[in-house]
Amino acid sequence: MNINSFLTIILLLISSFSFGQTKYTLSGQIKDASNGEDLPFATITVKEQKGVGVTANTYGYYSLSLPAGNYTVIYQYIGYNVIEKSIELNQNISISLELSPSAQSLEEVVVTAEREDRNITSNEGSVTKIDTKSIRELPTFGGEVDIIKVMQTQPGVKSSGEGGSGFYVRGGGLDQNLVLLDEAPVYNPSHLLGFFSVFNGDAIKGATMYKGGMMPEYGGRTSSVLDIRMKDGNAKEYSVAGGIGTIASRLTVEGPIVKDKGSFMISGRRTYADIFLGLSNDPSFSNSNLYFYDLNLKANYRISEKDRIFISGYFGQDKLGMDGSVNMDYGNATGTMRWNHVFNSKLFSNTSFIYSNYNYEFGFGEDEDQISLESVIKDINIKQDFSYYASTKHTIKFGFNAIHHTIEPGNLSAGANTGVNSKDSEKKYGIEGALYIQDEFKVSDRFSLNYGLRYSLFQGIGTGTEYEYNDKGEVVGTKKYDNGEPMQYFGGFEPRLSANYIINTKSSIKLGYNKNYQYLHMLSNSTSSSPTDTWIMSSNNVKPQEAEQISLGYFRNFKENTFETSVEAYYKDMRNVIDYKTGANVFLNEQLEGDLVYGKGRAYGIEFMIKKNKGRLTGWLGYTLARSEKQFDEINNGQWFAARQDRIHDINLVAVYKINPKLTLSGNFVYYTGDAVTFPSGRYEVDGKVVPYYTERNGYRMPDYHRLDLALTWIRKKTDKFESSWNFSLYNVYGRENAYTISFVPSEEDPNKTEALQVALFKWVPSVTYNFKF
Amino acid sequence: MKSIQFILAVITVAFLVTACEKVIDVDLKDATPKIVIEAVLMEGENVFEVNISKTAPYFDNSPSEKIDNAEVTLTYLDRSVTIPNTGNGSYTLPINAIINTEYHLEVNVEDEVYNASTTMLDKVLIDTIYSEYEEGFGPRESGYYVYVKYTDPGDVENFYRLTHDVNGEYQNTEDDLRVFNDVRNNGNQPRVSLGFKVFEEDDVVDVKLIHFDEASYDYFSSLNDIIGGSGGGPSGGAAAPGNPLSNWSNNALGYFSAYNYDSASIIIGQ
Repeated sequence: MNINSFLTIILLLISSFSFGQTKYTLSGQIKDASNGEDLPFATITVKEQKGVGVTANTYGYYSLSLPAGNYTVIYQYIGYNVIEKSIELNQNISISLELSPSAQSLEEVVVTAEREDRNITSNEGSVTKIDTKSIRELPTFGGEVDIIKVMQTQPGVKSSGEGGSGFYVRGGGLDQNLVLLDEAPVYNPSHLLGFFSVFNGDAIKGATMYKGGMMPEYGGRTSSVLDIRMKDGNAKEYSVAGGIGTIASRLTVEGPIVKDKGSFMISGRRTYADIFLGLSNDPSFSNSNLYFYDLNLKANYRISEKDRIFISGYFGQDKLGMDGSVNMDYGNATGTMRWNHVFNSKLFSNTSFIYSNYNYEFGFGEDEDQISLESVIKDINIKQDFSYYASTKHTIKFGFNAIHHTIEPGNLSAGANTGVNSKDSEKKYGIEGALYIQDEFKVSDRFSLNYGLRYSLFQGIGTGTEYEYNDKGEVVGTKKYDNGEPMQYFGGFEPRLSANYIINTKSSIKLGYNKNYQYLHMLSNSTSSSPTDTWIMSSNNVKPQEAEQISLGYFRNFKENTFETSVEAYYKDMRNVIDYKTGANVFLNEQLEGDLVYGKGRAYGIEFMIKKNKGRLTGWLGYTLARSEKQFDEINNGQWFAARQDRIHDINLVAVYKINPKLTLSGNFVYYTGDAVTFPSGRYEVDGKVVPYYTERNGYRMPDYHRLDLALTWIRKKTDKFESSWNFSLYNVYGRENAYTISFVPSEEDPNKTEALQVALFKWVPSVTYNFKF
Repeated sequence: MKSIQFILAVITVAFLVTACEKVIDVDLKDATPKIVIEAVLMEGENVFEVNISKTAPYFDNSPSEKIDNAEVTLTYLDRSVTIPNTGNGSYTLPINAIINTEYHLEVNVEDEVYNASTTMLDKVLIDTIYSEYEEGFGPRESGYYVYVKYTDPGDVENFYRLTHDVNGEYQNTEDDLRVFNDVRNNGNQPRVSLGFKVFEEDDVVDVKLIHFDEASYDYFSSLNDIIGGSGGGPSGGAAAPGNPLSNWSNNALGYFSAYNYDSASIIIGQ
């Protein structure tokens, strides 16, 4: 879309605000009565005015302007009792209230929306919201409730592979997802090479995933946004919750700092496989480290009626290896300080200071023989967001974001005996910035429009070196930049649009469009997330990745919102996609950019979803038919080829059945087309070895993947004072040997023969978890 | 990179006790046969051998088709010699290869011409060879490990390959392929190992430190990624599976390399 015409439309729409009548504003905060946590996205509607309403923001704040008069205001959040309040609006008034969870636990929903028909009424296609609370009864891997694994069961979201916590969204790459924890980007959201995500289910309130039609406040990745929020902490009373599982144990303490004014939450998790290894008589096991831990901290405090401060932090580390021989440690640390300020009943502001750090250290040998490598990615980030509740028709959001990135690709230190030179790779610096504005416009009670514009930019900063390469990837020129000297600059407009037309109370059509730029890129030797994945910044060689997506969906609910169904189709066009030349070396390579090739991508598909929200049996069935392809002049003679994540068919079935108030049975079935991979199409002998001969990139398929998981949750005790439950999970119930790798190797019996060797990781993985709360 | 893969393997093995392996049937396409030329020139007076063959279907376990009707010409120092065919895809001729000389090889098969060049470099000497007993952990075995030290010339980039014989037998599995450069240790006295290979007492280990040019290094280094990696898996050695980077023109497979080497020998435990 032409930028000028877009700006003109924005101006026209904003000028359509009505100024005629005397209006007053109703505003306030909505919370959960049981624990004082904010209820983000709770809906507020007015009985007398059809189509007038507002959704609370992520902090539970709402504001609604109406002409003077008497109204009945309805506050609702699914799974909570509805409150109706009669008000006489003749001045600006503030009403903050608490909703209590509804008692009919048999009607508990699996993936909650905030309002029963939100699927139809909200202007959000391509968006999935999941509460941690609602996924506790689903089957787990190793007993850990993992919000990312549940996201992977949604149409259009695919797991990176067996047990992996990486994910592909609508044909995009693993690095094209912006993963935020309380607004802080998490660069490697995985533990133990991806089998667990860093998000401890006990500390997480919920997550929202934007597969498309992202709001302009988000940017920096081309595929999706996964916005994860930590719990605020119980503002009413102290509580302790925890669990003992097969892999890890957890403990969470939360409570008020001052009742109803502030609260805190501390949550920790640690695995203990190494404790069992320590019992072993074999020193090679007892000296080994194999654990990870997570620590989440959060506190919030209301300083005044108008100001609220939140501080949250996350620390997690994986420690893997053997004392003195070999070790690999990696982890994330994030910190967010937020300040909510209500300027007046119409203008809400949030200012965030965010810090994010990811590092890994890898070492080999001891003392003089030691070689170790350390790498760090560090972000310092300031984000300012304003919400201006202009009228019942318009809510304007605007703000800016500035991130200072530091990447230390690798600092190598080596002992004297190794003969290796210690060397620090050149650090890279850059600033990523963005300005945005959007208008949520209720055009009529049937038609709503959410449109906006984001301008994002990237400025590389010295000290730094730019390399110029020839076609062979050899350096033909270098340019040095001094400290603070500006290097490459990139910038561009990112128009965003989502529109919803409500056909009737049961159905609607939604349209979404977004353009995104991405300035940081992850390069990986492997397809599962590895701690040593390398992030690079845009530079003279690496142009920002670009994506444009258009999506169209039809949503229909049946039987009084018991069944939600949707069909969504999308087309995504990607530019400046990155891949490798054959033989590229990713590891510690300062001239890596010379080994990269740049091309295009396209992804398109159609997603079907049926969800049942009420009754003893709840759950969803999703089917995605999709393609994802890439094209590079240097690969496959310039022809389009399937991206690895080109899984044509993808089926997910999740079901939860409440046998009785104490027993819940749940199941999860997954099926998808095998990944596109490169296999040899011939062989030859060289240097006395059989060598595979490759003819095309990703011209073959892994075997199709399918798996069934089951879980049984048994509530032992449930009183006001104490709750306890058991969860029994079985991953891969029928023991399907899904191929993790297929290698082409000489046969062990006869080295002149070659064979295909498949490795499957998990046949059955049972787990038992005991959870308690008091 | 190998060591990173190794540690990932340690962790995977330790963690995934339930992993299971099996041989499966995979339906592979049969590519049009392609020419493969392998030629190694050794420093000094030696028989120079060129082997020419064609690729075969991957699971076809019969010997690959040999090419005996090629014209093979070696050109160096304004001289051109024809290397005659000696049967079974082999072409041989005694050549006295000298250092600091560029050699050019031209192969003419079925009206297609393939060219490659390589330079014979000078010898890099092995300073010491020694073995140490080391305790193992995880998949790393306990036993004697052999190390070699040499002095890397500091003024230029250098590229090496290490090969070895055990009790007179040439070791040539994919784990024995050791190639390295001096990017991290230019001008130093680096210590290199024979990978994670362990030896027993009284084994006689003969080591050759081959010094060759960058094109040869690129070939063997990319070959190492390919044969060490796996087809569809996440732990593959190469970022992008493909054919090794050959110095042959016209998309022939294989390589033409000049080796200058120094040898050293050790009897383990003595």
